[in-house]
Amino acid sequence: MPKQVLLTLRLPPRLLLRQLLALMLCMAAAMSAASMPRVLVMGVISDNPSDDIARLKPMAAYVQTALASTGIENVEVLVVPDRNQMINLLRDGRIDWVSETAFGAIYLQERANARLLTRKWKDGAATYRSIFFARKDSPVNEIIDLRDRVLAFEHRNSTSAFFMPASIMSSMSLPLESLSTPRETPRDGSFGYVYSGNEYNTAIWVHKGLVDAGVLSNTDWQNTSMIAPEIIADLKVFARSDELPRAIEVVRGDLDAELVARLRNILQTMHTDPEAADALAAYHNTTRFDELSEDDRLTLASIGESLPAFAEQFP
Amino acid sequence: MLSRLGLTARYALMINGTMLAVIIVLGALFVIKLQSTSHDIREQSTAALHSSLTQQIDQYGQSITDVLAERMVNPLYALDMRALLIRLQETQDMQGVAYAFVVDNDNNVVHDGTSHIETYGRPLQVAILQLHADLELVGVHEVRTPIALAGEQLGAIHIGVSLQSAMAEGMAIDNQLATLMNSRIRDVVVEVIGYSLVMLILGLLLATVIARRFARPIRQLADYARDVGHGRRDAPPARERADEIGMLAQSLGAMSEDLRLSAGEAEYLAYHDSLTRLPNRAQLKRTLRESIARSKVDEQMLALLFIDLDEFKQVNDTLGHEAGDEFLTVVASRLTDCLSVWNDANDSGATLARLGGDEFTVVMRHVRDAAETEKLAAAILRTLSEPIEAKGHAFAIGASIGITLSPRDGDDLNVLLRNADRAMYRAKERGRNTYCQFDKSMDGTATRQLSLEADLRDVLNNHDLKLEYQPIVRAATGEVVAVEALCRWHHPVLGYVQPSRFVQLAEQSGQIEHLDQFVISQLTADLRDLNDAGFTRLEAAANIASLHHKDPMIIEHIAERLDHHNLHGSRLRIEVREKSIMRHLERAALATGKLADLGVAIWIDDFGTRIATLKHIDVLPISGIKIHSDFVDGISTGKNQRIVAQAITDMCHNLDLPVIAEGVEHQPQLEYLQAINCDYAQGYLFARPMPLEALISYMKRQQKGNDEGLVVLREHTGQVVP
Repeated sequence: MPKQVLLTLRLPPRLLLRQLLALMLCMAAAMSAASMPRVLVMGVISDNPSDDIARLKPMAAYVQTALASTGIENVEVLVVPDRNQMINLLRDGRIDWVSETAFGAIYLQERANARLLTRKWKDGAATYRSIFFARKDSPVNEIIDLRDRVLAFEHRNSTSAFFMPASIMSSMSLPLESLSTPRETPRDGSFGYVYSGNEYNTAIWVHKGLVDAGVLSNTDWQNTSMIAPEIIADLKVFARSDELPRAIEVVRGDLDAELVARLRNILQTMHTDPEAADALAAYHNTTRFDELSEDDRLTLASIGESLPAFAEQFP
Repeated sequence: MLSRLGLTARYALMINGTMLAVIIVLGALFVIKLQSTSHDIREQSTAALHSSLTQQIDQYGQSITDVLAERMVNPLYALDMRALLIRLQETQDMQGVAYAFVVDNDNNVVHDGTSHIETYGRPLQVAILQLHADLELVGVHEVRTPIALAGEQLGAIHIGVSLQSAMAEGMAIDNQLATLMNSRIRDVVVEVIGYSLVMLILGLLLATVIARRFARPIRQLADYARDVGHGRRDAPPARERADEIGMLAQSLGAMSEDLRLSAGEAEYLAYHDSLTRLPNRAQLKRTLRESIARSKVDEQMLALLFIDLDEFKQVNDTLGHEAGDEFLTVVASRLTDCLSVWNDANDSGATLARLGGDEFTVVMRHVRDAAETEKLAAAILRTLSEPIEAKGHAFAIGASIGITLSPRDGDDLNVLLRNADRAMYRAKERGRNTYCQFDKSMDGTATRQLSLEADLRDVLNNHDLKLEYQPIVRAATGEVVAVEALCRWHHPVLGYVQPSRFVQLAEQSGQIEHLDQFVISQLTADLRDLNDAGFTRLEAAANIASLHHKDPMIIEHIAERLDHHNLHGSRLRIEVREKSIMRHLERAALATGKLADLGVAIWIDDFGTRIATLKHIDVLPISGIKIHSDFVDGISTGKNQRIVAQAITDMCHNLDLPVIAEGVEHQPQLEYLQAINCDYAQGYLFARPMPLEALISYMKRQQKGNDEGLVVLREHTGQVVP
């Protein structure tokens, strides 16, 4: 697993220390798991543990009840600060089950040998896509027109507003240049990009001409409570990505197959159980779980393939 | 209205009116001052409040922007519009914040708090107007704080804090203050009005009490004055006071005293004769009535003596009325003395009275017998027998006394008076200067009248009446132009009988024409004699009473007599009294017309009592007017009479009628008559009536005087007629 080592070596010394601490924790947990293997652990990357634990707790409780016959005595929630930590804990068997974005799921699959469990519908949608947009009066009509211009991504963790469009641009081998603020201009011939921080900023920046174009998920684009119709009215969409699953549940690769099958089944039938409604709603406003479609798998596969180049372009 | 109120009410009203006015003025000033002060306070407090609120708002706004500027450094640096939006929306939701903008260093809008940043990039003032067109910017206080990173300014937070809400709060406080003040002012005004009313009521009571105290003595004095009018005569109340009321009381007292005295005087005059100060007829009647009643009760006799002076007419005619009055005064004095002596001597209460003219009475009470009364009568006659001096002349006159006794001759007042009168006449018949007791033989109602009529007939038949002549002179010169014939009857018993009396008797007894004929016969005869004596132009006037009779024989008689004596009618003047001519105007017109045909002049006698006569003068052939002697008498005393005399004279002159004034006795009368151009005058001032012989010699003296260039206006005979 040279890639993981590479990744680990690249961590700054502070993170290394935290990793060592976490490792010690994991070892302690593993020793306890050996004696009490009957616990399923849900992992979540969060900088706001109390809120995220509150979102996951009903699901954990529901699944714990549903798995009672399998010998699982407890379903716990474990909060981790970042995806690398998540990868480590998955590999160490300290986290069994994680809810991820499409890119996150592929990443965990590639780096932590995680398995894709089931597709998760969010806000009534099973899939979404990235929307490239500019002002209607802008000369930008396709991605290639963004040369010598600035594109606003949302932030580095956003699937639809960063990973997906960035991987598209990466696959096109365009010379991208990261800028700190919209006030900066890219070098000649390069494609400048900035992080706006949120969908609202992206739309406003494009609308007010602070940047030349922005990218958002189609769900955000259509969310008028987030982006005012007056703004949308002045904008045009000049490029779209393929659709990709809204979210994917993954489990560690070495989790008991019977347990995995049992968990998948529980999740995919949850939407039919009225008693599961509160747990679903709390769980990132989930509508239901189902099997990944063939198109999903193809899209995810292509993402997996582009991942090394992407990682090189966006360190 | 005020004048109808009592003094008390007016005092009270005036005092209260003054108090009310003072209270209203002071109250109004107080309220005005109070309001202006409260207004000042309000203005000052409002200004202070405003200033304080503005300061507070500034501080408030500044505190907001200071915090915001801190919090917006990073978002602005990163152009994190969402962060700016959230901050601005939070800010805009803050109380009193009207708007909030983030601007760049060029003061252009970076964020305006709207989700799509509507005014992005526009100048701030334009953006404010665009977004807050409905905002009253005057009421907005603007505050801004720069947003800087490491000393470099990125932009600024600019907010507007509405003064309105703060001001509204201020206004609410202000209004509360105003309401409070107004309510306090209202309370104070109500209190002032209340106190004023209480004071006014107290004042009204006090004023009423004071006014009543003032008015009480005045009212008492008013009552007193009214009572004085009704006969009260004691001293007035409150006269011991030293103030004006005391003075009023003293004046009222003095007035009451004067009134008492003059009332006594009036009563005295009512019952006493003004000339002699003796009881008059009215008093006599009172005394007599009372005495009769008393004597009836006491069963005593009472006597009435009726005293009539003999020949008193002679005194009057000879010396004039003034002398006559003087004479009567002496007579009264003697009678009083006589009675006094008698009363003292006989322990009697005989009282004297003057009935009028020369008639006196004595009432004797407790009379024992007739002899006693005769003793007193004799004493009276003795008293009067002494000559009496008047105007330097001594007159010896007597008196006739009639005596009647009650109840012997009657017990009625009027019966007694009549009886005494008759007895007096009997005494006169017996030869005067004696007394006579009444007896029943005298008790015939017309006894005396009948005898007088018979006597008149006798004298007419026997031509025993005499004519006397009084000259009529030209007022301006004294020249005698005519004479008036006056008829004189000297009765053998009664003496001189007044012409008015026997003319009336003649008219009543149908002898008037006879009398007139006698006068004309005698007059024409005398005129003939005057003519023969050389006075050929002297006219003679006679008063004829029968001219208005139907078919008067007198006219024919006049014509016949004139013819008989060969006299022209123009020598004769017939005087007709105004009264009789007006009463029988048609007949008088006829008769006077006939006389005028004879050339006889017609003069109106006693003119002036009926001014209306003048308008009939046209239908009568009037030659002249004789003014009534009353007006001439009044010249020296009465203004009205003077005016009437002048008016008559002027009127007659306008009608071309000459005027004679008769009864002229004094020089001032003459002077006045001359002044008013009265044509002729007649009277004692010039000459008394005189017999023909005396007239002829008088005329001769006059003529001689005239010839010598002397004007003789007066002639005193000094004659004493026995």
